[in-house]
Amino acid sequence: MSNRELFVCIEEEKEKIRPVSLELLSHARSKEKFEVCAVWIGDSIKAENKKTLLEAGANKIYQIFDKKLNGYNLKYYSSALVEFISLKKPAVVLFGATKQSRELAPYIAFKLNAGLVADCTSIEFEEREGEIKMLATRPTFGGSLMATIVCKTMPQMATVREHILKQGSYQVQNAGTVEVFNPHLKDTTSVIELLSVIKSFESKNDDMQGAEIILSGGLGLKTAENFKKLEQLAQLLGNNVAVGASRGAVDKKLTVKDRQIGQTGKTVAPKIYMAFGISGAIHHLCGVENSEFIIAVNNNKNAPIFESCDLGIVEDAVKVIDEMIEYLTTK
Amino acid sequence: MNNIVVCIKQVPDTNDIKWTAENNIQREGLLSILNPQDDFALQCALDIKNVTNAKITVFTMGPKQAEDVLRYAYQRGADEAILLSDKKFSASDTIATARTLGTAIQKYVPDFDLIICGQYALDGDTAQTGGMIASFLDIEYISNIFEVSFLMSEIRVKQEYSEGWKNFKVGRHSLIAVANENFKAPKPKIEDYINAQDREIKVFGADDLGLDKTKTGLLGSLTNVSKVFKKQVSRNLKIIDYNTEKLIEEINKMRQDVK
Repeated sequence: MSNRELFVCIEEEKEKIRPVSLELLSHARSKEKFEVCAVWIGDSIKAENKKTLLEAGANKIYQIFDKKLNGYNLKYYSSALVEFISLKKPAVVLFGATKQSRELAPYIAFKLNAGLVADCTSIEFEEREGEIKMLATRPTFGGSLMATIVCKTMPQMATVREHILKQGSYQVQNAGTVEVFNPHLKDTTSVIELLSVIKSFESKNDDMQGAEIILSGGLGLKTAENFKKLEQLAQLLGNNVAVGASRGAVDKKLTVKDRQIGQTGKTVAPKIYMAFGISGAIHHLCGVENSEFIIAVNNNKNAPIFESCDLGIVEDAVKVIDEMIEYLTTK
Repeated sequence: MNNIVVCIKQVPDTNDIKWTAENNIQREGLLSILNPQDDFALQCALDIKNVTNAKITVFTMGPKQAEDVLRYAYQRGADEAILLSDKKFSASDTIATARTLGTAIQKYVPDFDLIICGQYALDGDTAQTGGMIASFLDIEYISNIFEVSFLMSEIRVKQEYSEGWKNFKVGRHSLIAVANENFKAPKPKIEDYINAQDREIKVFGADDLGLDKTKTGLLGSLTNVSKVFKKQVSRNLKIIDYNTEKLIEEINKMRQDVK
C-alpha cells in the first residue's frame, strides 16, 4: 500500500531546472491529492533552485546524493532511484519526457515492476476503490490516435511532454528543508563511458520556449535563404519572436535541427504560431497544438494545415514573407 | 565480436492512416512495413558484421504475418531469424513485450555481445521496449544513438544532444537503441530476395520460452488502455484573402488578446 507521495524527478539542463520539471510540480500540486515531492539527483541544491522548486508547487524536496551521481549515467541513476523508490513507495512517479528521462524511466519501471506511460500530453487522477488512479493520455500512431492508459501496479509512472502542462506559482510555507538519501552505489560499476562532447552549434532552444510568436518554415520555403528572411521578419515583429521549422525543412537542411518542431522535435505553445509553407502533417501539428492561435500560409488550398488553424491564407509563403518584411520596414 | 542480436517490429504504415465512420483506425488494408528505426538497427549490425564477421540473429514478436519482416532481414544479410508468436502474446504492453523478447534472447543467444534495437516504433512510439529488455536482462543500455562502430575491439557510439553529439564507449553485453530518421535502406538485390524466401524461420511460443500467461500478453502487462479517441481539433478555421496590412492587423489583435 503506497503512501500519498507523488515524486517528480527533477532534471537540469545547462545549470537550470528544466521547465517541464516545474510544470509537473505545479500540475501535481493543483490536483490537491498528493504530497508533491521534488526528487533531486546529484550534488547540493542551490538555495535559488530550492526556492524555485517550492514556488512551483513542491511540498517537499528529496535529494539523492552520491559522488557517482554527478552527471547522468543510466546505471548509477537507475540503481539509486530504484533503491529510493522501493524504500519510499510513492503512489506516482513523474518525469519530463526528455531524451534522458525517456531512457531512464523504462529501465527503472521494469526493475520496480511498475507500469510506465510514455510521452503523455495529459495527466489526470481519479479515486477508484480507495486508490488514486492516474489516467495518462498520450498520442499514438504518429499522433492520429489518443490513448488514455491506466497502470495496474504501484508506483504509477509516466513521462510527460514539455510545455503542455502549466507551471503555476505557490506560496512557500516552510524554509524548505531537504531530506538527503545516500544510495548504496559503492559496488556499482558502469561499462558505458563518456569520451567526449562535440558541440557543433549554439542552441537557440531558449528563445523558442519563451516566445510569444513563433514563425515556422516548412518545405514550402524551398531554400536556406528564405529561412534567413524568416529570421529577418522575426526581428521586425519585435521582441519574443522565434523561428521554428518542420521536419521536412530540417531534413532538407534549410535550417538547423535545433529548430525542429513536432513529434520528433520540440513541443511549443506560443501565443501565435505562424506556419509558412508547412503542409500540416499530424507529426508536426502535435508539437504546436497548445498554441493559442495558429496562422497558416500555404499555396496549396488542400494542405491539411488548413483544417487545424485559426487563420488560413492560401498564398505562396515566400511572397507573404517578402511583403510582410517590406510593409514593416517602410511603415 | 561474435554475436549481435537485433529486435525488430512489423508496424502499420502510419503515414497512411484511414478512419472508419466510428472514428477507429481502419486496420484492414493497412500496409505493414518494417519499423524504419529497426531497419536502421539492422544496418548498424550489418556495418559491424562487415568488419568482424559476427553472426546476426534477428528476433521479432508478432503474429504469423510478421515473418515478412524476418524474410526482409534475411534479404538484408541477417544470419538467423526467429519469430516469437503465440496467441498468449497478444495485447502485450511494453513490459510484457520486453520480457518475452528478453527471455528469448537469454535462451537462444545467451552469449550476445551486443543487442541493437530501434529507438521507437511508428505505432506505439513509446521508445520503452529496448530499455525494458536491457532492464530485464540486467545489462546496461544507451539510447538516441545515430552511429555505432567497432574499432580496436571497442564498441563506440555517437549520441545526439541539443547542441551536437557525444561520443561514448560501450562495454560488451549491452543494448543500444538507435535512431536515424533519414536512413534509407540500400536497394534490394533480386538474388538476395530470392534466397531469403527459402531461409528457415524458427517459430517459438510461450511454452518454448517457459512463460506462463501471467508473464505475457494481457495478464503480463502492467498498463491497460482505458480509452482511445481521435483528437478533436477546435480551431477557428477561418480562411482569408491575402492582404499584408490586414494580416499584420490580425497578428496584433492576437497579441493583445488576453485569455
